[in-house]
Amino acid sequence: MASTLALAGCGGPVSTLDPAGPAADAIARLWWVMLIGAVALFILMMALFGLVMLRPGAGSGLSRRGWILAGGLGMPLPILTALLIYALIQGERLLPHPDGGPNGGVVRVEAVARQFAWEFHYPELGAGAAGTTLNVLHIPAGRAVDVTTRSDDVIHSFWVPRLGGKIDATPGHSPTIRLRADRPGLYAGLCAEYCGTGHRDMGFTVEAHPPALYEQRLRAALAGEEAQ
Amino acid sequence: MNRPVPHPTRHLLMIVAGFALWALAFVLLYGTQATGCKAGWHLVEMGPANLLRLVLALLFLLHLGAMLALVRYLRRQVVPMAGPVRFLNRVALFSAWAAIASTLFTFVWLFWLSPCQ
Amino acid sequence: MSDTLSPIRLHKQLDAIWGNGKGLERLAAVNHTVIGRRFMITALVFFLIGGVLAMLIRSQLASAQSPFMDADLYAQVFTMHGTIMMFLFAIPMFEGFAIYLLPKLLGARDMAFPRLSAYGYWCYLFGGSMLVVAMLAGVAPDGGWFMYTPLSSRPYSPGINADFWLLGITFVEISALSAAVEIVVSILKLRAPGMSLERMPIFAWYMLVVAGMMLLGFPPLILGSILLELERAFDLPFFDPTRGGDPLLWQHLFWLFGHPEVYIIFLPAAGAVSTILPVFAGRPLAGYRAVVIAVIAMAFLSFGLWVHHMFTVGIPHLALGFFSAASALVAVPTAVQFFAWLATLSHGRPRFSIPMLHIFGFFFTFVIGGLTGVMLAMVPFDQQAHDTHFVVAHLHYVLVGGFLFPMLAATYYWLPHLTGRMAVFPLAKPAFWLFFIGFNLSFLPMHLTGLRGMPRRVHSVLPEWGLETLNLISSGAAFIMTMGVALYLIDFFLLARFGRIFRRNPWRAGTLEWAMATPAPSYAFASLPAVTERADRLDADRLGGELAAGRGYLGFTRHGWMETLGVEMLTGRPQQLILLPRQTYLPLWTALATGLFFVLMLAKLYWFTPLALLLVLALFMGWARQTGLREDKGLLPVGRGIDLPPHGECEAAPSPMAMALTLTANATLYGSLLFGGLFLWVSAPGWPPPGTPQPMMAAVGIALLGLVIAPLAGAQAVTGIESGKAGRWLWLVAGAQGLALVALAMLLAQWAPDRTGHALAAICFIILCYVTLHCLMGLVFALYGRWRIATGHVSARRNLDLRLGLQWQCYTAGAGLLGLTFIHALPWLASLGGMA
Ligand code: HEM
Ligand SMILES: [Cu+2]
Ligand SMILES: [Cu+2]
Repeated sequence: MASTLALAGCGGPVSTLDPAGPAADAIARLWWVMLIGAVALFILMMALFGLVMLRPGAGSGLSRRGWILAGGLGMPLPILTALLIYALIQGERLLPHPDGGPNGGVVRVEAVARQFAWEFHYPELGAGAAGTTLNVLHIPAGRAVDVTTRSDDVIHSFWVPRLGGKIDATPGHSPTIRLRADRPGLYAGLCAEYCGTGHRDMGFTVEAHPPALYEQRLRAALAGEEAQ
Repeated sequence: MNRPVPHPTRHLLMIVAGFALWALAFVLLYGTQATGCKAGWHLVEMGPANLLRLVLALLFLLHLGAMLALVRYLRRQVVPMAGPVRFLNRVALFSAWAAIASTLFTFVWLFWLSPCQ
Repeated sequence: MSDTLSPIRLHKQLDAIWGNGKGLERLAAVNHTVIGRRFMITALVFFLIGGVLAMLIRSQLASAQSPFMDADLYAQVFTMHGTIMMFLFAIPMFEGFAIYLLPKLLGARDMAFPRLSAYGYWCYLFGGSMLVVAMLAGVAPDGGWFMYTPLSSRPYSPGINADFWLLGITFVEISALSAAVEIVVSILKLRAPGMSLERMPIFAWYMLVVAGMMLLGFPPLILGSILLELERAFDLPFFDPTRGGDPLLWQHLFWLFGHPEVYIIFLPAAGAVSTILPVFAGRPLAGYRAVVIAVIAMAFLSFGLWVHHMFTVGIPHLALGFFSAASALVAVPTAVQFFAWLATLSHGRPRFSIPMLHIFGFFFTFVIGGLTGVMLAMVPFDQQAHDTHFVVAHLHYVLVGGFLFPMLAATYYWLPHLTGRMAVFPLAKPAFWLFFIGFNLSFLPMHLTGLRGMPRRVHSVLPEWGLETLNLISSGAAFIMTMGVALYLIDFFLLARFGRIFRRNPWRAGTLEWAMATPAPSYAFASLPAVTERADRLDADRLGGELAAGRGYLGFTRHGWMETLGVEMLTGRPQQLILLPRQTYLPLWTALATGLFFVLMLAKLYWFTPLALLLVLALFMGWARQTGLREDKGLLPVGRGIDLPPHGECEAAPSPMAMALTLTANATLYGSLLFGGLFLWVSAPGWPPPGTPQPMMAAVGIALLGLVIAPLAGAQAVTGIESGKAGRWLWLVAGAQGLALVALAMLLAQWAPDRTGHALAAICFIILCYVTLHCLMGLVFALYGRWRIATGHVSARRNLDLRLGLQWQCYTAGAGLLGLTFIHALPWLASLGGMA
């Protein structure tokens, strides 16, 4: 496919074009579809401009009203409608609906942002493990994870490009985004909303563990943080 | 040709009437959606839909109706065969149609998308 | 008046009246040609400053090793770059362009309110300078051009930096609003006789719509800035979530302005394209009516898509759907315009020229920007691309493509008009190609940079992102673009200095601005044309000669008056003789006094600010002293056998319309405030507050009484001029406003203690302040009317001064009623159960 070819220049630790989960994957697909459409439309527009400039009279077969109706309404409306429906369907699928998704229930975590670090809470982990991890988020691979953000100072934005879109951490609000990592591994995260002089360095890591080992590793990590 | 125009301002304002209704619909629908979610209207089941969706649909249809009435009014308006009043009337009429199309395009999604998530 | 003068003598006589002084007297100029030029030159200077900042940004990002600015300085640089480009370059540039061009296109001698243009210019210059001074002092704003709270709130930006932004930009916005009022009135009233609305050059339609958008688009930003400054200065918690405020309120207010803003910038440029392109197609614009409808549609749609800047804040998908759809839909009227241009070209005989080359640049670039815009309108995609360099690339494709290239086309098209000279050196082409190639090489790869994960506003590239090559390309190409800019500047200079002098109408255009000598004389038209067809198909060469010879309207001088014609707004039937004000220093003094207010705010000398405001008010009174006649003149001849009343004796004079427009903008601000209150109720955490003051019904009743009596008495005053009772009625108006003021003061005292505790009280307090301020102004208007009667400026026919006051008092009554209802309804709503 064209995309595999293009991927050569599209990889990278924070590349949205190198998706590692269903959300990022769907969006990357949307992007490639839009890119192909956009290139075609761009070529069409330039060709028309070239035609009317370089071949005077070539376009006069179509009345002026015809040009405006065909190009101004006839062309964009169907394209936009189709694209919008596609994107809205996709948007609906990406929402954190209450019904978990594959592989059982959703894992819930909290991302608390502050200038300039991320603290992750795991409210679902039973008693005795109420700790937090700093700048590392532990998730199970292959399961949907709902990340709820919070901030007590300024606005930040939680973003793991290879897993999916971003969600702001706005003081006073706690929105949720659903992500999933297909495979165990490390995924880089960034703060996407300008939040002050440490904005660039507010990166974090998402560590996706094999589901069977998740709880054990998370508890170990929490214990490790505690010890520090 | 230089006869005075009875209501110059009204003729002029008519060219934005259609889209003004669209804008009003926007404000009301967005406001209702936000308020309804806060008040929990989306949790009140009403047949296949919920209270929030029903209210939104009602607002939507009301505005469509108002716009169609506007189109009717503009079509019936008696205007001279040429000149600025005619021009404004035509602009107002086509703008109103464009506003109706825009209303459909912008808001039909309220019958489908997740209202509070 | 029937004896015709020779063109030379007519020129001398007119120039003696309209011409501007030399030396320091230049500061008194109010002429649209001069003010328009000043706007454009100042905007160009700001563009260069913004450009230098852009180059600093690109140098910083060239490689991971190249940083030379720390994070704090970088923040100031990108904030100032964005702020300067948007507020101090793009908007003032097209304002100046419109002020310079509109009267000439429409066949008038000046704008409707020349002193207002001058005042706007000075406000722009001083406000912009404030920001530049802040930058040189190292305390420039540093929260990004959209200044999100809480980062820009006092706890996280304790310095003066953010205040410079809030106050400086608000100062500059005064000029935008005054320009908007003036543009609407001038287009609707100051045209050549016979130029009915459907005969206007298309550019006037564009500007009419743009000015309308400015009236509705800027007030939310001004309100937001006021609220944020109030929060910073006086701790009123509008945006503080711990006290019932909400940072999202700022985002809504900002983007409710911010998105229309980009269309406000784009549309004048598109209007220039719609004017220039037909000339080189050798064919009038196709689909004139379709374009008018498209522009109207675009204007409205652009107000319904601001949340596409907020797709990641966690708003429900249904609402996002509305905004996403509207964002996509706005592509349709854009396409209509593009195909109207293509249709024009396809049915004409296009010839290539330097302006057309830039229109090609516009087509190429803006189409890309538009396509990426549609992509960003798609919610899921935006959630990835938002706040990355993909967006930076998109916004530059739109702004450079949709504004810079068309404005360059306009520059090459109208620079001969400004200077009276045509280019002789072939520098424009290499400049274009350097700029065009540099731009695309710099910004096209930036889309990929963003998609591969580079967030915007990071102060350097981190090696581990793997984005160094792409950034290096972007930075290198930016220097090619800079060379293009330098070449442009040289070319403009050479043209202005050594260009070939031409006689008239070098492009064979059919619009009125070419039917005059170039550079344009101070009075623009020696006599005003009668228009009998669409005003882009005129024979400018023939007309030019006739008008110079004084064979149009007003081809003479009288009493040293500065005269132009006002027309009935739809038909273009001549209606009134408009007497324009002479050159004066007052706009400058008034702007300085306004500046004093802002400086006092900056210096936190809040107690002195009322003095500055009083000074501003007094100076504005001084404006009135220079205008108006002391006797009824009846009908005066205006040439070609027509007699008209001076505007002061005309029902349809320009100033009531200007007042109505000002009040519309004002109402938008107020409406945004009320909606802000409702928004907080729905969205902010920490509602309802623990308690609110008990309604004080007696005070409310008295206030309402005073508010309602004022306009009723004011109306009596207008009708009572004939019988000499107006003065007494005006005292009643003043008394009623005074009564309302006393009651409002009691209410204010009641709400004041809570104002810092919770956003609800803060909102109610500010609403009361707003109403109080309006009552105070209503009182001033009543006294002003009384004074004008005393000085003999008022008669049954010359009743404008009283009518303006009446308009104000009516508005105040409405606003007061609404406000007093609101401050009781909001606590009630808040106390309703089950809304948590
Ligand atoms: C002429 C060459 C220009 C270059 C090389 C340039 C470059 C840049 C770059 C690299 C950024 C991103 C900064 C960052 O996110 O860290 C930026 C931001 C921006 N630019 Fe430009 N720019 C140019 C012209 C313009 C023009 C003409 C306009 C508007 C009319 C403009 C408006 C903006 C705005 C609004 C921002 C956003 C600032 C912010 O994030 O607060 N730029 N520019
Ligand atoms: Cu951050
Ligand atoms: Cu926008």
